[in-house]
Amino acid sequence: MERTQELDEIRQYLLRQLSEDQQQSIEQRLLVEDDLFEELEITETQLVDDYVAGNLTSEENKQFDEHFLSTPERRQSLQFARVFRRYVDSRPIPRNHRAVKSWWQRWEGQAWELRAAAAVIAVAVIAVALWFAIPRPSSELLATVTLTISSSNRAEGNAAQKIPLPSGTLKIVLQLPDDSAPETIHRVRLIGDDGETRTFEVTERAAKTVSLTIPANQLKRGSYALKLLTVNAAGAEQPLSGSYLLTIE
Amino acid sequence: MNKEWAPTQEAFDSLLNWLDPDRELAGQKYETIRLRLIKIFACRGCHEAEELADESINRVTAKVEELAKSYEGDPSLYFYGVASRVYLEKVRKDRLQAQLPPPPELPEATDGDAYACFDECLDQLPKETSQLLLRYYQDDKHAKIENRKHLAQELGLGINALRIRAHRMRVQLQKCVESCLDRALAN
Repeated sequence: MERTQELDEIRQYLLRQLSEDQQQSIEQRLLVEDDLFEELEITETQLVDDYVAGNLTSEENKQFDEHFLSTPERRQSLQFARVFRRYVDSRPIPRNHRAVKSWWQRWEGQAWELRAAAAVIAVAVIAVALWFAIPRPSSELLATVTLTISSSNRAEGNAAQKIPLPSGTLKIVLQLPDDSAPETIHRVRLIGDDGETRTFEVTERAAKTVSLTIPANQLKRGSYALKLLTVNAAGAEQPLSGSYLLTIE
Repeated sequence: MNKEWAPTQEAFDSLLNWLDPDRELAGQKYETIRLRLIKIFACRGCHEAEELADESINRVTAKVEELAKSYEGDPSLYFYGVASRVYLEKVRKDRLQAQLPPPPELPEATDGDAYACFDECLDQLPKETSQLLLRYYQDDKHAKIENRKHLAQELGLGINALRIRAHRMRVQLQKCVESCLDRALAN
């Protein structure tokens, strides 16, 4: 099973979205596979963080409230996650803390002539880099990939489609299953192999496809699973079964 | 559910022996199975996950002499089979939790108390470790992903290895903060 599919299955297990057979299969593996058990615990924490950050769909929120928060330990984890988030937000740490410090210390130790020469060279390099980096209207950096759905069942899973990391925006065209209508698909969830999930709006709809665009700077090398999100009769957003698999090399 | 039967020391020793002839390894296997059964019951929405896991273990313990002679395969899976029956009995019994009152809310500490405990617990860690934790959980959405990518590069780790490391540190931090808050609430 692709790692992203496995992460998605664990997430569905935690929200009690799996069938009885799938649930039993994953539970038996949890008892004997140490890595899977640790993955479950990590995904559980991420799910709590996603809930606190408001990143779950309305249906997932409902399942989280009704099923996930069933034990005192989990409610305690939720309380912890809420306060931890506020605590982290109140104590921002400079992102390049260590790198900036050591570079600056070395810089301060140099003679002023050397520092002036280095500054002139740095300005020249930045100017040249900017000239090349600023996008021209004529060069539309858009890569396109078309994906077909893969069943979430392990035995039937298709291989992931592989593409190189695009330099501009990536347009992903998703072929819909026969029983899905494009107008019912509103958003698409992207699940990375590190368990991170993000949702993107559908930007185009055709007879049997929906498309979304993702700027390259929001992608990295690795495996991804994409899931279609639809709105059910009760107006709640929920993922459809099956995933689209993509590997960025 | 047979909640009356409590395992004797002799039966418990036999259970450990069935799990592994090495007593220390047997103890570790027992703890692992118990912890995972609790998790499974919690994932099935049971408030009393610990009680149900212990009930499952008691039932296996009651039959361990027989099992040691006849059962082939990983003992964990036998525990799973028994736990599944315990779960079904529970579902039949209370059909279902909607009728039960919600579990009691936990006492909530103020942010001031909690922040003091975070400060205290993070101070106990090496500075690099505490900064790693705070940096890992900084930001949201795209900024968070970029932040973690840089952090992994800085530490020379893969994203997944960083994720596992951060999670283990967070679990430790949570335990430390919760015990600190318990002390604060008790005073």
